[in-house]
Amino acid sequence: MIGGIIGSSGVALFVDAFGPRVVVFASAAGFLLTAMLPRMLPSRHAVRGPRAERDRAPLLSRFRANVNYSKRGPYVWRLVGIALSASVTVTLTDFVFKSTMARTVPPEQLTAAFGRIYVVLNVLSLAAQLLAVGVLLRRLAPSTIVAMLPLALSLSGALLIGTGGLFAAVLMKGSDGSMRQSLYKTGLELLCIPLSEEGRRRVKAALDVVGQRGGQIVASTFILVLSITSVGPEVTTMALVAAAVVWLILSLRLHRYYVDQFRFSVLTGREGGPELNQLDAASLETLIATLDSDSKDEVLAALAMLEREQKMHLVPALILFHPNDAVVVAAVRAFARQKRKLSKHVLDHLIEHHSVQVRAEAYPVRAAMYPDPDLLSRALTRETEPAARAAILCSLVASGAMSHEEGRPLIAAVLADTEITAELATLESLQWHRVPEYDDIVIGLASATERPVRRAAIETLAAIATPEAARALASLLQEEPLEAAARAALARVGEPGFEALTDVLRDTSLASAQRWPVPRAMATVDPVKAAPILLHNLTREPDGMVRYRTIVALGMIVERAPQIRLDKTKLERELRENVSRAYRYIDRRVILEAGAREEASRKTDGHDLLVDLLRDKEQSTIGRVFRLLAVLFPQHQFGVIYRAIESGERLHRAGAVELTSNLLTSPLREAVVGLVDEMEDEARLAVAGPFHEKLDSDYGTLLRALLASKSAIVRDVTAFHVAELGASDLVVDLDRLTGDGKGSPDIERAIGVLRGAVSGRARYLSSPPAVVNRVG
Amino acid sequence: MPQLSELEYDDLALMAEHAHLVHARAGTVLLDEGSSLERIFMLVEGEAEVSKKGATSKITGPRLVGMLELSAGVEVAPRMVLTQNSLLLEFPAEIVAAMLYESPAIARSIVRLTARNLMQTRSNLPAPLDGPEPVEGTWGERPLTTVERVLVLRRAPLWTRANLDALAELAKHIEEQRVPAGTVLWEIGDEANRTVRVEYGIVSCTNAEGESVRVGAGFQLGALDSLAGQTRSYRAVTETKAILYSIAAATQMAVLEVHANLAARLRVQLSRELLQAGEAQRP
Repeated sequence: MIGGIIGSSGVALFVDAFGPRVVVFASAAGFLLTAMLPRMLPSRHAVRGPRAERDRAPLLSRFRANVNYSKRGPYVWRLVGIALSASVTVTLTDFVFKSTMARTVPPEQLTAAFGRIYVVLNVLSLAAQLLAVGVLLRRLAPSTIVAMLPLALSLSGALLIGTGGLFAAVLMKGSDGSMRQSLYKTGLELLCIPLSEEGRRRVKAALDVVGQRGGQIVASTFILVLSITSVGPEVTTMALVAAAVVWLILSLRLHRYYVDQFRFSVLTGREGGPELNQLDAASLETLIATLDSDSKDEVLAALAMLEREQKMHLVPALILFHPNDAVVVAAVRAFARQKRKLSKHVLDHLIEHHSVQVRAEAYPVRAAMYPDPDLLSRALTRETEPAARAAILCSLVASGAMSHEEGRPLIAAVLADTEITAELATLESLQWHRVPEYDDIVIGLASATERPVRRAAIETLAAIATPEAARALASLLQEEPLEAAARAALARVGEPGFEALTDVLRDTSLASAQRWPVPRAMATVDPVKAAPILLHNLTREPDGMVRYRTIVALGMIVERAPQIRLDKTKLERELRENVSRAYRYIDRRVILEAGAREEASRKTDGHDLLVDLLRDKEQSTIGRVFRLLAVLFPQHQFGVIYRAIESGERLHRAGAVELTSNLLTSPLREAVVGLVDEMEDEARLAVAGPFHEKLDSDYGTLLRALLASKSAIVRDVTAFHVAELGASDLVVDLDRLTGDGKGSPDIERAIGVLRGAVSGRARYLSSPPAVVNRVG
Repeated sequence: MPQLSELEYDDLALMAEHAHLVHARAGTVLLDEGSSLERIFMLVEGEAEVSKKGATSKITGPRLVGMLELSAGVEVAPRMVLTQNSLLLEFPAEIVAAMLYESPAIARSIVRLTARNLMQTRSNLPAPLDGPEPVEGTWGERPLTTVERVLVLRRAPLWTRANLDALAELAKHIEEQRVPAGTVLWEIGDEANRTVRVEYGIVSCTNAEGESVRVGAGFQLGALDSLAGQTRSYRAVTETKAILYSIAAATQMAVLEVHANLAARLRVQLSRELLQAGEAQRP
């Protein structure tokens, strides 16, 4: 642009003295010099890669390939359409401007007039680039930016049709000169960002070949035809206005496709959750055929799949004659859970089976389907194996042939056996017969040492489904290896399970680890009932981890049950508070960092820890903001967008930020984008808008504010840093915290250090450093 | 398949959606050593030879190849040649990497397997039999404060750049124990429900075969058992008086679940240790 200004100024200044011929000669010399410059550069061996090979392809086939690419999807062909109509419009603009000049300016003054006009145009363009583009790019969507030039050209074209004067032609050319390079080209570049790297390369080639060159061919042909038919210049201007209007409409309508394209590029390949379709006929056939496999594991896996898909009715009862005991046991359990009616002779075969596990499984099923207390009593006298006896005893109690009181010591005696098979058999039987009177036995077994027993106890507690059983399941959630099983069991328990979970959530006196898994479990058990309770809890929950998991659980609810309507007012309030909190963390961190720059003695371990803590809290809060956005706007998949922002891939991140910007409305848009876009902290704080007012604190005042923080760890780290600095003026604040019941070992230590009662040397310095290979 | 057996149905379905069933003949080279790791293979049936840095091992199904490298963030493939006609599942590495980050259950499953294999390479003991001599450390008269615990945790390479919110949460739940010599921390077969950082003292660990290792100050004891989701595979007894910082395994897991980056760092570290231990083709 600066070159353009120099060149056009030269023409304006020297054309009168030297004439147009010299100007043309100087221009030709300039081109020649430019062409020779590359020859003066140090030579390098050309590397011929795939790109080079591709560029050597015949021009026609490249053109065809680009035309074909331009037809890929609505976004790409609209972009090419914009480039084509833009090229037609600017070619006609140039022609109309020059022909109007030729008509109205005497030939001898023409060169100087062009020179002066181009100087003005280039200066305008440079000014637009420097002053307007940055502001407009921050405030307007790229599609709107691309629409500004056709708007100006169609208006000035209409003025030219109305007046036919030079002013309108200059205005038109002025619009072109000032906006084409600055706004239109930049906007078009931005519109290519949502495309993949390969897509961008291809689309730029299509814009260049089909759009730019194609448009020039169309416009030139049109001009040629007009010159042959000697139609008046106003027809060309009308065509120009028509092309500009097409360009304008295509640009304005592009925004929706632009957002969709961003969404596509951010979400493609990153979405989890496959659609869990019902098994198709071929898959079912495969599973049934697998039941004949020689591999026990394959048969067990097929049975598990068929049960999960509720297709056990397709499994032949002959599987109960399988040579492998584990397969027979699994089949009996699966049939029992699916309430499949088995014939008496099959069950009689099973209670005579050589394997005690099979017999133990078969007794309760036989007793439930074909009640026969005499048969059970006879079996009890005959059986010596504890597992089988346990199964028979439970079946006798369940059938009423033996009282609960009578059965209890007998079952206890059986359970005293050291083998876990008796415990498993008891649990299986109680699961089958659902004897609520024995829920205490099951709860006791749920805390056994052996994990298979605990898992079986969880299944039995789900079957018994008493309030006590539900409470036991809720407390088992905190054990990581059992969490998934306990959660699924609570879902089967239903109402009592949900009530037990609600009680745990509300009881803030319980250990944190017991409450952490509760929000997710509630969302699994009954999402409809869970949604309002979790949302209400969000505002009063003192434990940060429970709050976070509550937001995650709400996200799960809206994802799995989109019909559930959440209270938007509460969610929006929570969102606003989190956005404000994130900015507060930034502001406080900025003040701390500036304070350490002012006084180097402030830069201690505690200072660094505090700065890092505020930064990490800011990041955690931003994560919460996006999770809340995902709950508020489930259609936009903000969870996936945030993962793209977090991914660290530059283009992916830029796309996700841009998409966020397009999905939200002001002032939330600027504030959220400000939290995740790449910019200086001061610039971030400037876009916080109504969410944060810049703090006017010095270092000491900020430390006082941090000591009053709601977060215990922020208070503790601040107290640690206050002790490092020897800031005795803050000892009153530390005393107040102790008085308010917010004391902690760190606060006590800081008070001791400041009063000279305790050494200022931190104990951690003598702690042995951990090294990588010291984990075992 | 044991490698996937502990996954929930949704995660198995996610894996299945991206898996490609491959029947390949003996002699087929599936991965070239040193090439970019673009695919992960699960050998379902058949036999293959896997080699890396001159060491070759024969494997039979079901075994995963390339997963450990991916999990360790190495992303360079070992050589894999089929020695029998085989049936395999092929997964795009990029997708599996995304799954490791986005599905806590899949990531947890890989950590579990890696920890299990690492324990096996150490003869079911917390440290290698030929490890360095432990040190007792310095006896601290007063307990560490929460902030001091965070600073201590942060000195471990694994936690250096960990989210401080997560570390603070862990530090808050650490319990300090001062115990005399001869205290039994756990027996073989006990539930692995806590990990213990030895702040001061020596702890002797003995496996079922009677082999022993001694660990000292700075050692994080019992972490692999709990990460592996298995019961204790060795007996741990203090040889000297000791200061121990104990944390419930469930608390640690809950914090890791919320802080995915921290969980990823742990996975990468364990996988690298396992790679270094020469068990390149496990899990």
